[in-house]
Amino acid sequence: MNEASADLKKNNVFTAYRVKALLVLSVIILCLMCLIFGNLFAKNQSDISFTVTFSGIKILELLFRKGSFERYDNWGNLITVKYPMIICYGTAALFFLIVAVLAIYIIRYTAGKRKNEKLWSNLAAWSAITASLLTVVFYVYMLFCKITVYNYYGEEKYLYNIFEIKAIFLVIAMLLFMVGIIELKFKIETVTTVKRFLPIYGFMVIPLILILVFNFYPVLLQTVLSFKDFILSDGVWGSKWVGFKQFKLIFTDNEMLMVIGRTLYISVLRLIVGILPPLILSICLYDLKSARLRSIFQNIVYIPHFFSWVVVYAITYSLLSPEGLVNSLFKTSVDYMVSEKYFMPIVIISAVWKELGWGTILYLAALSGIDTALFEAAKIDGASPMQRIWNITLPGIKNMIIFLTIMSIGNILKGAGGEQLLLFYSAPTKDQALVIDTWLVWYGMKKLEYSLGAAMSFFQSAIGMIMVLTCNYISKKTCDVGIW
Amino acid sequence: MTAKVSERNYSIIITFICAVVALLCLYPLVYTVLVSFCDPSEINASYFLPIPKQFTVQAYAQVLTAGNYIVKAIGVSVFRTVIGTVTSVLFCSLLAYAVSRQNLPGRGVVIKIILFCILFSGGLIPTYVVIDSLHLTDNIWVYIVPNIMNVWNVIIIKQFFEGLPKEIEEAANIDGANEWTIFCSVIIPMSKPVIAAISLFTMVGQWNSWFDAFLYISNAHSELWPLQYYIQISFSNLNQINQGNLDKLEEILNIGTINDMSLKMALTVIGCLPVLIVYPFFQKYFTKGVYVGSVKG
Repeated sequence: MNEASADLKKNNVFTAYRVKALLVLSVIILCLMCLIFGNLFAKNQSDISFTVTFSGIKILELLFRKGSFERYDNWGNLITVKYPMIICYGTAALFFLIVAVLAIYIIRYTAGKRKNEKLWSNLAAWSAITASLLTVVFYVYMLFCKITVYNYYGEEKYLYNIFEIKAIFLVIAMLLFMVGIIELKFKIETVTTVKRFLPIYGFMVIPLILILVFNFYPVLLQTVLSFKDFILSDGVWGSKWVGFKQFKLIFTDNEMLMVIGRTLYISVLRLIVGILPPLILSICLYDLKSARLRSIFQNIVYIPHFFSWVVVYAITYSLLSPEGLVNSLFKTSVDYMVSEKYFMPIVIISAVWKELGWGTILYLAALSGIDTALFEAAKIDGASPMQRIWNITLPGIKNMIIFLTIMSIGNILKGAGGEQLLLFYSAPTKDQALVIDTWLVWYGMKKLEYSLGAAMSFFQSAIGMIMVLTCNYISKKTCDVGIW
Repeated sequence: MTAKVSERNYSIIITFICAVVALLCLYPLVYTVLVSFCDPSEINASYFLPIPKQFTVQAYAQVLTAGNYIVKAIGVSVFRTVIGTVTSVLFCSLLAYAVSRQNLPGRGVVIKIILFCILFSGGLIPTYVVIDSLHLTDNIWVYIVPNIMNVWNVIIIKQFFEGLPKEIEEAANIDGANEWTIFCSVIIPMSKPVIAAISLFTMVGQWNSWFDAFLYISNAHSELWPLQYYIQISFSNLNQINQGNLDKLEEILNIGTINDMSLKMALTVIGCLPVLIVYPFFQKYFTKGVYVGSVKG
């Protein structure tokens, strides 16, 4: 019995071992395929009169032609273009590097278990990781490579101006790194676990791809864009690197500073009205005697939160436009919606109208955690309602108040409500509505200031992240409430 | 004695405050609905409650028949709401289910990616570049695909899944049920509150959204505009929309007639009606699903 189970276990281990080998080897071969058949470099149409993409195999071929490449253009003229040898040598080196890694892994896995298993494993893993790092270095080197190339027109261009260096290098590096990690971290036992969880990994594939494409990749792009000077015809990857120029502009240009200042101003206004009124309302709701009445009121005050800003704008319009309620009541014809004087009050009040009820939901949750016996005791002791609020209710939800305040301070650069401002502004009030979010639309998008816009949102996100993390930390330390 | 009196006053005051707030929340809505039922010619806005002398659905009829553009827009909105909600809830809960499995190798990395995406977002412009390079601009799927994954929702659902008893899952496992069956017939039914709350938020978000149409759909493709963007366009005053927009609008909506207040209000009521209809059905799930959700604001 015992022998049989041991035998079974050994058998299992052996298949797991093979699974791991198969996994690792196939990833390395995938790398090699990427390098050979993937489009490593693309050439812009604007530089020569034809587009051409280079797969790895073509590059390797170029190595034997001293980097020269002949091609007929659209008009039938023969064009000879010489490419910098650094690309050819580098790619060839990369090719041999991956082949070497592959060889190491094949040697490691062919004979099954070896005596100095640990040493082999480490060697294999670190060779893959080194190869991955070298790939990244090569990629970055090419990005910043100062070799000037004379193209067909005889212009001088930097390497990255002529070639669009594809991100496939990063994919290769990632895959190689994965190989190393699999080798190091995947214990043989994990392989069996992984096998058991295979359907679960299947569940993750589509969601993860979507997250990587629509959440993660924009972050990468934002970082790249904010250090470049974006020109539409050159594309994101072909535009010039300019270092911190965009950030310098943000912090020195008066107009940009004004935009940031106005963002802070509107955010602070919103923060003030976003904290106190919901607090008062939730205390009132909580102290209502009739539970039925409370739930009716609660459900009513939540409703506006679910309206879109467009609808809120429409409703505001129906009350304040020249033909609206207010003007007919007072027999006037002031167009409140486009007046500079009333713009901020309208924006703030309509925001309060929309979010007041919803703001109570967390306070009410915190309030429901207070021990009701305290209130009974206070009543018997003859405490007045005000004393009760002051001594029981407020201390009971103090943590939640602090938490919410801290979190909205953390979000201060994003809290100006760009969507609402985009709807409510009009020509006379456009200046007042110019905050970071609206700036991104009006100037960043429409005037193609992609780089400055990316730098702006990078700044916004970075500050937001730092503030939220610190605030979360503080709030966890002081009042034991955090986001996670 | 004095304490008792003030106790009574207090309860009167708080009832009063609550009632006033509730009235203020409802009043603009009631006003809008009433105006929308007025005859465009006899509308009299000088009353607090402009109760129409005779109820007429003329405004609605006119709006809905204006070159059937509005009907098309409603179609787009319904499409994005239904498909968007189903796909989003499905894929978010799939990922949440995966990362809620404690001993899943690689779980930590995935959670770190999700948390990073919560904290650090690619702004408007990089997102636009990505969507443009995927040829999603001027394409109806721009409403669906980029909105499927909501990292916040994944975390919320994950937290709920982690609170579920593990024994049931294990029992189902032993019974030989595969993961998909466990997910569909054990996990999802047990997580009704959180699924309902997330569905509501996604639904309302999709129905209410106009900004993505504003960014990604050009004026030449007005047949892809959702209803909310139509309302926005028909309300924006002349200063706000550029000439190209205006010509298009005139052609589409017969701008002469859309000037009427009751028509605009009819449009507005159509714009918020689905939300009002769905709201009562989901409202009972609020308490459970919402608390975590409302932190994100």
